[in-house]
Amino acid sequence: MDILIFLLKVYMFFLMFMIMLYIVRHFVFTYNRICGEQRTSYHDVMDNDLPFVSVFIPMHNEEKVANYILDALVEQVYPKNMMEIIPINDHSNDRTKDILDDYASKYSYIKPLHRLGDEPRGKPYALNDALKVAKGEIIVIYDADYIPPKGQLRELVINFIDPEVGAVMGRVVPINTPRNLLTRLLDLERSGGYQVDQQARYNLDLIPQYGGTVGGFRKSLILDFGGFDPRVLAEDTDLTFKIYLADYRVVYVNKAECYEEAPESWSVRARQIRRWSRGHNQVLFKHILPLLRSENLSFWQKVDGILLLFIYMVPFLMLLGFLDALILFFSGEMEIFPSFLALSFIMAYNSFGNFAPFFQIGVAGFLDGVSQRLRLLPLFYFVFLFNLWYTSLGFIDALTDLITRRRAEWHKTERFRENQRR
Amino acid sequence: MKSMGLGVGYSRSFERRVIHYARHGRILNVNKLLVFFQIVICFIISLVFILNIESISHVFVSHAIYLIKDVSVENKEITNSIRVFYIKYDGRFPSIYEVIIYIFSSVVGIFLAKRIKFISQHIIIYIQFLFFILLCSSMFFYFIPYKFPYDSTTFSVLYILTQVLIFSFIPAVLGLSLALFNVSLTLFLTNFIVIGIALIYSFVFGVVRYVVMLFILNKFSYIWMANLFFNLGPLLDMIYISGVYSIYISIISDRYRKFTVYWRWIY
Repeated sequence: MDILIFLLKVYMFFLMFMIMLYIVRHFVFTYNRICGEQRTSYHDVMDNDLPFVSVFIPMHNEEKVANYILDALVEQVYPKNMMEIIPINDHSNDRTKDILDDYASKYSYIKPLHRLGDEPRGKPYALNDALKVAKGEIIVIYDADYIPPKGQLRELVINFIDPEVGAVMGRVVPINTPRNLLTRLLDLERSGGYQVDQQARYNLDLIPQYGGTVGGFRKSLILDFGGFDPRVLAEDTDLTFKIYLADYRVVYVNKAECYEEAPESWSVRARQIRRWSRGHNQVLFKHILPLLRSENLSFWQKVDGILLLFIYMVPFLMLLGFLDALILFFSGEMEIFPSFLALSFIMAYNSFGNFAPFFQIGVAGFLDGVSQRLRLLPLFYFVFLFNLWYTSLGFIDALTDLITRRRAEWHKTERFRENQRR
Repeated sequence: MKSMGLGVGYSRSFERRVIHYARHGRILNVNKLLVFFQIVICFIISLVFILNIESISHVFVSHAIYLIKDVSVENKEITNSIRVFYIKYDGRFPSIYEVIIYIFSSVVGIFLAKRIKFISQHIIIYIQFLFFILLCSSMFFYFIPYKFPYDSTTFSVLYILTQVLIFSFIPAVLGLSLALFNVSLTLFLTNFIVIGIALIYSFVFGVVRYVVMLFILNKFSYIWMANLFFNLGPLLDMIYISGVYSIYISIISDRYRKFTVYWRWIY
C-alpha cells in the first residue's frame, strides 16, 4: 500500500512538472508575441511569375456552404490562367453535385472531382485522388465552410518562392462569433491559437503547424511522402511533422485571415474535439520516435515538437491525475497534499483552460483589439472540464486504434449556415 | 460595402465599420524594465505571504469568527517554528440512511444531468463531476466509514494553509500575466491596484467560503468534504482571478487600442 501511495504521489509530481513546462512554454510565446521581434512571411515579395496553383475544397454534403467558398475563390486576385479550383465532391447525397456542376459550367477553371460509388470516403482519400488530377505544383486547401478574402491566395502562394518552404498556413477567424456563447469562446480560442501561439512559434523558428485548411503545400513533397495517410484523422498535423522531418519549413502568415464557421452546438464541438484528439494522438504515436532521432531539427524544435505532439494527451494524463488525487484524498494523504494539489489544479486551469492559458488568450484578444468578449475568460473553467473529458475520449480512441489496428472513419463537422441563396 | 458574393446568410455585418490599425503585425511598446520590476516585486509579495502564514491565518480567522457562533479559535504547529490559526467547529459523520440517499441521488444525478436540455453541455459535465465525487464519497462512507481519515479540525487547518497559498499565488499569477502590458508607469501602478483588488476579493470570498464549508461539514456531514475540496477549492479561486484579469484587460484593451504611441507595426 505504501508503495502505491508513493507511486501516486510521484505521478502527481510528474504531472505538476509537465504542466509547469507547458506554462513556461506558453508564457514565452505570449511574451514573444506581445513585445518580441516578429517574423514576417514573404508577403511583400513582388513577383509576376506566380506559380500555377490548384485549390482543393474537400466537400461532403456541403450544399449549405458550397456557393460561399466558390464565390469567394472566383473573386480572388490571382491570374485565372494560373489557377484551377478542384472542389472534391466526396460522396455527397445532397445538392452539392448540382451546385458544383453549375459553377463548372460558368467558370472553366472550376473542375469538380466527383467521388462516388465504392471509393472509400474521407478527407485523405479525397485529397489523394485530387492530387492525381491537379496540374499545379502548389496545392492550397480550404474547407468548404471557409470564406477567403480576395487577396489571400497570393498571400499564401508567394511564400513558396523560398525552396525551403514545404507548407504555408494562414489564420482562421470565425465568421459566426456573435451567434452564441460557444462561438464567442471559440473565437477567443482561435485568437489565442493563431495570433499568439502560431505567430510566436514562427517567430522563434519552432514548429508552426500546418492546419489542413487556409494553407498550402508542395505537391511533389506530399507525393514523395506517398500521399496522405488514410489511417490518420489529423492529416494536417501528420503533414506538418513529415515536412519538418524532411528538412522543410512551415511558414505562418498571420496576415492571411480566412473566415470559417465555428461549431454552434456543444455536441458538434464535442465530436470535433474528440476527432482532433484522436487524430493528433495517432500522429503522436507515429512521429514521436522519428522526431527524437531526426538530425534535421534543432534542439528547441525538438522540444517544441514533443510538447506539440503531447498536447492532446495531456488532458488524459490530467484526468488520471484527478483520479490519483481522489485516491490520495481518501487514503488520508491530504495533509501533506493540499499545497501541490492546489498548485496542480491552478496550473491545470492556467495551462489548459483552452489549450492555452488565460493570459495567452487575453494577450491575443488585446492584440486583436477585442474588449468586451475578453470578459468571458472565466467561463473557460467549464470549457476546461469539457475539453478534459472529450479530449481524453479521443486519446482512448487513438490508443484503441493503435492496439487493435482499427481504421478510423472520417466524420464531417455539421454546418449551421442558413443558405438563403437557393 | 460590397458583399463579395457572401449572400444574405452572412452579410459581413461582423466586420467593423472602421478598422483603425492592422492587427496582424502589431506589437506593444512594452517597457521591459517595468516588466522585470513587476515580476520581481510580485514574487517578493508572494514570498512575504508564505513567510507570514501565522499572522495571515490569525487575521483571516479573526474575521471569519464574526460569521459563525459557538466556535473557538485554536492554533496548531505545522513546522518547528510556524503555527497556524484555525476555527474549531465539529463536523459529523453521515448516518447510513443519508449515505444511501446520497448514493442514489448521485447516481440519478449523473445520468439525469445529460438529459437536461436547457443547460449546455459544458455545464452538465461540471454537474456530473460534482455528482461523481459525491458518489465516490458516499461509497466510501457506505463500505468503510471507519477508515475516513479526516475530521473538521484537519480540514479547517488545511483550508487555512490552502487559502494562504492562494493569497501567495494571486500576486504571482496576476503579476506575471499583467506585466506583459507595462507600456507606462501608470499602467505599472494600475496593475498593482488590480492585484490588490483581487487579494481583497480573495480574502472576503475566502472568509465566507471557510465559514460555509465548516457549516456544511457540521450540518450535512463529512460526506461533502471531498466535493468542498475538489470543486469549491482552488479551482473556484481561479475563476475570480481570471475574472479580475479579464475585466481589467477588457478595459485597457478598449482604451489603448486607439493610441498608436503604445504600438509598433512590423509591416
